[in-house]
Amino acid sequence: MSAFYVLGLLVLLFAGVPVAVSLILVGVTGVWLAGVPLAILGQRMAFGLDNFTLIAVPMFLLMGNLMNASGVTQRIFDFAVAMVGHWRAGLAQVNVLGSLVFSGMSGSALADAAGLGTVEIRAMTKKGYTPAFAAAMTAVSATVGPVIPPSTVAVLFAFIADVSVGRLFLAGVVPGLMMVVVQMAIVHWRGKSMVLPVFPRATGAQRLRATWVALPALVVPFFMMGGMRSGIFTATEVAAVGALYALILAGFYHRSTSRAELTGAFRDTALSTGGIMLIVASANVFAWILARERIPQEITQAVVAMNLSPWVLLVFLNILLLLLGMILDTAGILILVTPVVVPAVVAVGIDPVHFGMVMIVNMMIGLVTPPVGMALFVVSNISGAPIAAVARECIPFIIGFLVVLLLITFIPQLVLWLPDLVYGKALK
Amino acid sequence: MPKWLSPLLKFDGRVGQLEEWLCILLVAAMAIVINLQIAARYVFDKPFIWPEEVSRLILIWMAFIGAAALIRRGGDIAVDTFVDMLPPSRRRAMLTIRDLVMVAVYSLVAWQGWSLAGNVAGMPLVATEWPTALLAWPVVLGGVLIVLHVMVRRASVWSGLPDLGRTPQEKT
Repeated sequence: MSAFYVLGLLVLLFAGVPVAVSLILVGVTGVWLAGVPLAILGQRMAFGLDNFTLIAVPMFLLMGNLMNASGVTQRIFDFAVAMVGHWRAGLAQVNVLGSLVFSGMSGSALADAAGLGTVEIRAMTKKGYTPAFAAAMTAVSATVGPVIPPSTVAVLFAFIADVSVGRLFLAGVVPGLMMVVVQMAIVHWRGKSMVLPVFPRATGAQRLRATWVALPALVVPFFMMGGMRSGIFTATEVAAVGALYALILAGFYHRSTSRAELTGAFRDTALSTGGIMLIVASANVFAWILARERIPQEITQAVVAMNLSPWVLLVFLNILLLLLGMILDTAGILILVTPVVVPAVVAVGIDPVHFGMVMIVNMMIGLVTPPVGMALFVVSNISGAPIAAVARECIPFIIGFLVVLLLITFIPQLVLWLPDLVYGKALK
Repeated sequence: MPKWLSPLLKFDGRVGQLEEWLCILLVAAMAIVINLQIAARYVFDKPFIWPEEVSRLILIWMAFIGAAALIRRGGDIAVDTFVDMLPPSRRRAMLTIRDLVMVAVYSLVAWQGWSLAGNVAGMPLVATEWPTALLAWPVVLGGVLIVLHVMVRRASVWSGLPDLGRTPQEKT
């Protein structure tokens, strides 16, 4: 029977039925076949969202959208120019560093690509980079956003898998920095074959000044992690304070923000939240079947019975997730896959925080892989370069990210070292 | 374009505008309420118990109204890859089926939300003592709004207008 439900879900999804509708349809069918009152549908949809942790999602989205509207992006850009602008293919390196800084204030890759990305692509094409390369750089560098804290993807995983948001946030720091190093190395190598202007090397005083000007942005991730670790704020509260801070920056400090940009930031927040939360609510209907048919338990038993080593399981899941990442967006994969596989992952002795970060990095690769690389669509729209050309420029970076994925999969300490250091070892 | 369609499109657009304004207000309200909660705890040294409950209520309203607004703009989260590979006539058929399924499912959602609101009538929430039905009404509203948007979208496609039910990125 459980195979019937899973198969039904896959057929609906592949037929193009929206994720939320597919989940409800299969869920309701199960409820009806079991002869249970349909009232479960209403209850599960309404009460499934009645959770304080989930509120962190719109608040982090709002913070990122407001930061984008606040004009702080220009300061981050100038800061990155002062630091790495004189390197070979300087503007491409600026793109990488700028996205890293911005990712410390924003939880979503697509917002990064659309906001800071517009500044970056414009600057790069003006300096003689091809639109396809500029767009690819922007899409690729934006994928670091959800790996580096704060991250809406991490909040969702922490909510579904019931792990600490703070630990999962910190788990992303080392993998995120690894992704940055890989990008910088590839840009350095690619830059050999391009004749491009670089910026003059900034003096110490100029660098200090650029750092000072960008300071309101640079300190954000440290304050957020500090506030959460010390117990002053919950993750949700930190997100709301961050949104307020971004609003103050936008409204009083930078003054260049128009009213339309501000209302746009609020509106986009609610629309993205609606898309994600509709799936969360629908998944809660589907979860009724998962629980009744004991599907996660069955999978766990099967995995344990097969006596798989954790590594084999991780490799298998990585391949599955990469394939899913090619056809489905991040929130969809996360909400569909996490509740089903995490019990099995934990049963074979993998730390769920480790698995969560592996999963997030994996899904970020999906963002720049055709056919449904959402980040590709965004940057292709901004730059006017065809998707196929952008995707081709992404290939070396995708290979680099796959190497990072392999490393963090097989060396859990890369992921767990920092959260263990700050929070102490997780209780088993 | 048939005569009856243009007032319908206009109405749908108005409703969409209203949704988006409500969205803006809800996001702002959520940020205010949570920051108030923090301020109450640290500044006034007198923790409130209502903000958490209110912010959870706001999330549910935001989720369903935001989802309706997103679907009106063609932002349904779906796997389009395989449908896009089909020849145009088959593809149109699949998209029609998709919209019919959506109308059926969200009508059911609205109906079940309605009966939930009835079932919990008279029950107060813990902190605010507001009616628990406030958790159920957004489900009804969201379901009705989505049904409206999908029906208008289908009606306009049948009248020869382009299908907006694609993800926004793919429209270009």
